[in-house]
Amino acid sequence: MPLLSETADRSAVGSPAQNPVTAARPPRGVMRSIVRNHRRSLPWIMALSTVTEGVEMLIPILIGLIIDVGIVQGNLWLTVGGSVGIVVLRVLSTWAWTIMFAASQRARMFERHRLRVAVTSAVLDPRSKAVERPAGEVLSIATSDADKASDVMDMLPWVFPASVVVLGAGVWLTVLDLWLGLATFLGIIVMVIVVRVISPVLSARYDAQQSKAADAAATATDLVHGLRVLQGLGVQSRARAQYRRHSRVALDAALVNARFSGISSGLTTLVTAAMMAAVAVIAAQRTVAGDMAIGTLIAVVGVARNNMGMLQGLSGIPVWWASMSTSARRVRNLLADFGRDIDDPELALDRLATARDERGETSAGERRPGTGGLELRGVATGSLNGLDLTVPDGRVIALACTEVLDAESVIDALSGREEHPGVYLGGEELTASTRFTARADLLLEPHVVDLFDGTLREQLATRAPTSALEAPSEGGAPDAWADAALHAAGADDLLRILPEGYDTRILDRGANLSGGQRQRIALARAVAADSPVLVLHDPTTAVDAVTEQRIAEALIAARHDPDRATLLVTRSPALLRAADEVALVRDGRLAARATHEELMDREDYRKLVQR
Amino acid sequence: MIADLRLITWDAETEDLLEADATARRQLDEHAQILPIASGGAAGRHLWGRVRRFPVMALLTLLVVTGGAVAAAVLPRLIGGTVDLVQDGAASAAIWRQGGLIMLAGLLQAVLAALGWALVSGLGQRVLAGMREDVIDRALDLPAQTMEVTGIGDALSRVADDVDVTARAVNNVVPNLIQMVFYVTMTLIGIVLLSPWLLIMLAVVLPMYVAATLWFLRRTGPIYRRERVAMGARAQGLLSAIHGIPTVHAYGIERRETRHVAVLSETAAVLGMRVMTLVTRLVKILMWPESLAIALVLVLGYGMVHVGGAPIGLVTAAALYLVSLLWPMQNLIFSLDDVQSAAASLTRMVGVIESIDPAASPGEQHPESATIRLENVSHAYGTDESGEERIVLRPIDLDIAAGETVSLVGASGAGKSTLASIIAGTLEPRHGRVLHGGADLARADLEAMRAHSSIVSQDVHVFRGTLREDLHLAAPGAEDEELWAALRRVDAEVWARRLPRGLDTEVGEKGERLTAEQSQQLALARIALQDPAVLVLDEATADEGSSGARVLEHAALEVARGRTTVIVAHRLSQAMVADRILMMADGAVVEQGTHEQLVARGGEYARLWSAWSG
Repeated sequence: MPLLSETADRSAVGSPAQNPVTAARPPRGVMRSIVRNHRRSLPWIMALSTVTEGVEMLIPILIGLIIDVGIVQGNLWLTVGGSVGIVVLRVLSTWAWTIMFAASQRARMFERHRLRVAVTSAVLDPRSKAVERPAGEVLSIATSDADKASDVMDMLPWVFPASVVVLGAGVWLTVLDLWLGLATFLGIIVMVIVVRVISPVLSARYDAQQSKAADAAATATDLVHGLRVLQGLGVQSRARAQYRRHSRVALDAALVNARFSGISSGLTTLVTAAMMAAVAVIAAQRTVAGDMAIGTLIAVVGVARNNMGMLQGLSGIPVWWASMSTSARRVRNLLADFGRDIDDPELALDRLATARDERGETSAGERRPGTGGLELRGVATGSLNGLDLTVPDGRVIALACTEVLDAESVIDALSGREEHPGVYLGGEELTASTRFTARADLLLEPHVVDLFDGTLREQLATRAPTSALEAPSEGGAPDAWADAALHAAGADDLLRILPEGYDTRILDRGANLSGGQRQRIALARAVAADSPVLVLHDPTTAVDAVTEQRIAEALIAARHDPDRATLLVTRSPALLRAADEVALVRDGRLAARATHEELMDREDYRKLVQR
Repeated sequence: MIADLRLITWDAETEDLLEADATARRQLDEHAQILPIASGGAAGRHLWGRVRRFPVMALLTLLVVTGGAVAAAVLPRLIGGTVDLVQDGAASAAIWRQGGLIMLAGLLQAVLAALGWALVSGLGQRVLAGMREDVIDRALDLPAQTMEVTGIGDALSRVADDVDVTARAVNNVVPNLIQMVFYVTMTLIGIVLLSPWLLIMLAVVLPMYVAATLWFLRRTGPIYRRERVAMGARAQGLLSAIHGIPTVHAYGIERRETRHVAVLSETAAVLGMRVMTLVTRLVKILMWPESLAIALVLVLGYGMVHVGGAPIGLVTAAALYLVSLLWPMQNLIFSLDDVQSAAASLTRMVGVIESIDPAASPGEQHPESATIRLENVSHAYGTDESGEERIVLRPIDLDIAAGETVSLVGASGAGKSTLASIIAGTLEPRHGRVLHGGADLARADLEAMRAHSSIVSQDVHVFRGTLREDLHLAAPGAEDEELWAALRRVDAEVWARRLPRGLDTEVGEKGERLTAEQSQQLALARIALQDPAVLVLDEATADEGSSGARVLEHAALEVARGRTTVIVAHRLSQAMVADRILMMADGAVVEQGTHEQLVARGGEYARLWSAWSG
């Protein structure tokens, strides 16, 4: 469903300006890319389709011929032989059609999949431009719009041959009789005019209906997302009334659209019927005058009748095309916003088949060596004012900021989402080209917890080294690595609480867990990754004091390793006390560096840790 | 670039496609759909019941569509008549008259087609609007526990995707289809009316048609259902990856997440192609009765003319009838795709409407004061391997006075949230009674109870729409002055005034992004407006860093003033100000008293306090 189509349209105008890459080179059209992609198969698909549509048009002519020479003249053998001939012709034509249809549908399914995967990779790839688009909008582009744009592979193999056959039938009628041809072409012209006049109106009505329907759907999903809040407030009936209002607006738009669609269907029926009547009268007059055989008359009306159906089918094409190209444009604009285009080889399907996430292991099972530690030199991200900080291997350093903004700026600088000068990993400064590969050595667990659908074991294994995941040697417990990670996160109790232990399915976003459980699983996941440098941001805000104390001890013990460095950005006294050293940041600069106990002599530090 | 179609394994079984992705496999498991799905029959009956609510419109629709089909079906007959006139060497005037009749039938057909389309589509849209409102209606009453087990993915796909699929069908396919069906029926009647000889042809052809179509529907039904599940999982995978982008990037799992979506997308594509392959087989099968019918009409026509003495025009009409059936039949086959998708969606919507009871008042009792009383309340979730209940809350008696503030503290898993939800009335305990102001929750008036007590949890949500609309959920019709006063009480006025358009600022998914702290302040402002007598705060300030938590703590206390309040807190600074603290461990209350009393006592709480205060 095209959620938020307005936003998409706005970005259509805005994107070239925001995006220097695409300003220089206009983004490739999605529809063009689809057609180019199939340029080898499309010609024969269309040729085959033209043949089968032509045979369909030939059938009434053959029937007329058989009635003429078989039935009217009383020749049974010709009647039977001709009938068998029609059957044989249709068998051949159907056989050709199925080949054509299967090929075009396969291409259509392929394109849907390709567009969807391209959009998904572009949005998730950290190398794309860091822009935020509402998730619902991306979803609608990756599903509904990708599907609609790919329909071009459904439309082309039909529209082109059908038009050729309709025109061919017109030519045949003209050759038979000038007036017949005139009536037919006049009908076609009137049809084109009618379609040209009503299509924009229809498209506008259709868009209006779709946007109102999308609005109602967005309200529905929004209410379901906020269900707990609504139920907590006890305002279900008000939410219901609100949805009903949106639903009724959508219904009104749909009724208007239904009326317009009805009128358009009536108009096209009228045009084709008039054409039919004219052809029948002209052909009958000719036959009475003796210029035309009775069989030809039958063939003519049969062809005209077929033409009527095809023309009516073709009359829906402009509206279809309009919605298709809107969808294609939405896909293109979304990709352009992320600084990509549809033919980017990085987004292609074959790339997906070979590329894997970098786990930072030169050979499977090897333990990642230490880096020498993390260092900030004069970092001035956000509110920071030249922060210097070293986190050497073998140490757990806590970072306490008097201002929350400073803490967030440190996290921003380290997150690698954008480039920030002054961050050194093992003496090497992180640059645009190294910040992605550096993720193998530097893991930052964000404060806002995000868990993905999967069992508890899979959660913990997100980036655990393969050496841990492989079957243990004789006698070792299979989940020893996971036990250790849970212990370090003070989450041993989860194994007792969750019904199937490590095999319990954790739902998307940890929907079946409490906030404290979610936070501890995320922490265990970070510990299990055994990253040479680990940065944690307020990792214990959702747990109780006793558990927090347990975590502080176990976590720091787990990270105490000669080639592991750990930075805790926190204000929790339990963590600060347990850390090897505390760095106090004030006014965006390092103010002091000492143990928790020593710092407690400072007024500002006491105030900071006091809760 | 040339598309390499081999990148998709078209003839793979879904199991093989999903082999490397355990999560996708679990999601596609049929049992993953916890919300009920109605049977085809039940959905049909439900739909019929809804259509019957519009008797006049339904009848009118029936008449118009039938009329349109008759007008269309009369056309071949009129053309056959023309042939007869020509055969008899009729005068030019007679032929012109026949042409006029054809034109008249066409005009009638056009007018009725226009009307019919609008009527069918309009009726369908009205029925659909009623259905989607009922689906939301039921979804809003889904118990929170169900959602915790299933996640909201299934519910979301019912209220959005299924409604969307059905609406698209009602827009185009349904009016087209219904008109076609009537047209085909009228044409068949027309053929039989021409000559009883042609019954032979229908007797040969129709059973083949019906059998082939039934075969097709039976084969494709399950494929459509699986495809729909794959699409749902695909959508959820994409949404969760986008929501979790910071984590995806931090862990460098962007390819894993892309691949997860891609595997499900490929599964859907392969299933979709399987349906298309069945379509080609159906067309191949149907080609036989169609071709046979044409051949039979010609051969039978020979007999009718030379044995039965029928006019040539009759054979022409019969042949034209058949030729003019080819196009609509093809049309019908191609709309089967949309129709089946819509039917699958319909069963999913009807499943929710019919199987989930709308919330009803269990009784008439109204709370008379803000006191709370728990009598021998206990709770358990399911049973473990040995058939024992998994106890989360041991039997407890509790009295809370009106206006009292009670804190629940203890380690995670101690049963704090369970007890809080039971007190708030959002969770029904397995055993025991809960009374609010003398009213037993099991016999109380639903709306009165909803207005009486509220619970704020750490799940924050900012609703779509303007800030004013969000607040109006809690107090419809409140003046702007009251809204500002509520925002002021929770310290949100400063940032709310700074919003680009004040109360008219779009917030939620589409609008201004509020921080977690601001969203929670908004939740508290809603409480101030809703003004319940009883307020339960379930770790409402939990997910914040400590400075944000301090602001929220202050706001929460401000909103709680004058209400009976139960606070679940692990920030003891919040717990200590309560009139009474309940220390919980292992599903039971182990200590209770004021902060000072409990610290002096030197028990569990005292230990917790010393750990907390550093």
